Parts: sequence; structure tokens; C-alpha cells
Amino acid sequence: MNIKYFFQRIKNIFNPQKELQDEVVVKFLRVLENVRSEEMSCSEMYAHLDEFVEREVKSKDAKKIMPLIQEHIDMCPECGDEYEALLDVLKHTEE
Amino acid sequence: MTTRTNEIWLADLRSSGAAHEAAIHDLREIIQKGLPYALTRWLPSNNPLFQPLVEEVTQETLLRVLDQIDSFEGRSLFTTWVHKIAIRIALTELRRKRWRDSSLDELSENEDAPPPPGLLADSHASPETSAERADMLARVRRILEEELTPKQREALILLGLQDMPMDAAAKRMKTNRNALYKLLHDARLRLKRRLAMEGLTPQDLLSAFENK
Repeated sequence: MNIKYFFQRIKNIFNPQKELQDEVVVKFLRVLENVRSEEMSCSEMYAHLDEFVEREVKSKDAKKIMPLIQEHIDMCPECGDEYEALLDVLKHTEE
Repeated sequence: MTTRTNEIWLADLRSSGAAHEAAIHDLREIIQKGLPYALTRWLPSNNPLFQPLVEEVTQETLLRVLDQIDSFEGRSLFTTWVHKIAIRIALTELRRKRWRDSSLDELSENEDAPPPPGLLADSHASPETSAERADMLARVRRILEEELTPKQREALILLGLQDMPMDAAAKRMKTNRNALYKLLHDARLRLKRRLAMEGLTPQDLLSAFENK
């Protein structure tokens, strides 16, 4: 175990915090299942979003070719909103 | 409207005179055609704020596109890149507005509000099931309390309970959106590993709460 987290755990035991509400716990659990150790930041995702959505609209293979982006979209609701919005725009305006 | 390749868009927007003006005019039209599709999930088109928002976002997008034009790497159509910028501006503005409109007093009241119905107080659940759920929840809560740093707790409460936008939460915590995402990612990984060590999966726990 990382020494920093070991001390954090000890500290938490002796300094109990206000209890987390059920809603927070359940929301947290919902995304936990899809967590992977590899990650992509919001900025990295944003840099590739246009390419990802175009690929998704044209060949439907974006999730396969760029899995990290899909994982980020699944985990980050705000980036997910931007993905959905761009997908809607391209689907409706594609010539 | 003139059909342009990426290279022609870049050349026209970087030029001056008639070609530049025509490109700006066409780009404005493209943004305004696309934006309503991006916004409909958020704001009905008959809302009085809809059209002013489209105007404001279009203007801001044009400025940002001209400012960031050298960062376009050509991985997509130029117009897709422009739509992406317009969406970021529009959704950031909508989230900011929605957040600004919620009173801070109301939010601090929510923090002390009772838990939402249905998790522990499921009237259809048998006493055994309710007790099992309560035990599960207590166990998860104990793990969370042991594992999370104060900053991770703060982020969970702001985003999970108060539904604060990521950008606003990052500002409140004096950090940025990337660092906040990383903070949450680390918390999720730690919790997932700890649950695995205890022989639990997120799915087991969710089932205990959600199955009636």
C-alpha cells in the first residue's frame, strides 16, 4: 500500500468525517464498475472528440478503435454530454 | 454557401478582405444550423432564452475559432471542430447559468437533508432485505471513510449530491477540471481495489440497494 494512503487511512480513523449520504454512495458505486487503471483526462478527450464522433457517425467503429475515449465518456458525465451533443449535430447536419 | 476543404477554410479565415468575410458569414450559418440540435436536450427551442443563447454562442465561437485556428490539427472536418467548440461554449454557459440560478442556501440545506426515499426505506422490502441493505451500506460507508482523502470526499459531495458542474466544482476546490477528474479517478480505483480485497463488487452492492 502506498505510504501516503496508509497514513491517510489512519488519519481518517481518528478524525471521523460527517457521514456521506446514501445518494452520494450509490452514485459513486454506479460508476465504479467501469473504472480501469488507464485513464484519459478531460482535455485529452476533448482534443479527440471531433475525430471520435465523426468516426462514430461514418463507420460506427470509434468505440473499438478509440476505447479510452469511450471509457472517459462513460465515466465523465460532462464530457458525455458534449459527445452526445456533437453526435446529434453531425447526425442532423451531415451532407 | 461555398463548399470548402479544410485547407480552404483555413486559408480563407486567415486571409483578409472578401474571402475572409465570406468564410465568416458561412461559418456563422453552419454554427447556427448545428447548435439547435446540440441544445434541444437542454433548452426547448421555444424558450425565450434559446435564440439569444444561440446568438451569443455563435459570436463567441467565431472569436474562439479565429483565436485557436493554429491549433486545428486536421483530424476531423474543420466544421466538426467548430461545432465541438460551439458545444463546449454553449454547455458551459448553460451549466453555469443553471448552477448560478440554484441558491447556495438551498444547496447547504440539501446537504443536511434526509436521504432520498427508496434506498433504505423501501416499503416493499422484507425486514431481512432492509437489514441486509443497511448492513451493506454501512460497510461501504466505513470503507469510504477509511479510504477517501478529504479532497476526494469534498469532490464526491459537490458532484454527487449537489450536482455541481465539474468546472464549478474545480473552481470551488481551487483546481482545474483535469485535476478534479484525476482526483475522482484515483478515488474510484482505490475503492474498487479495496472492495475487491473485501470480496465485494460494485454490482453486488448496487444489487443490494436496487433489487426489490
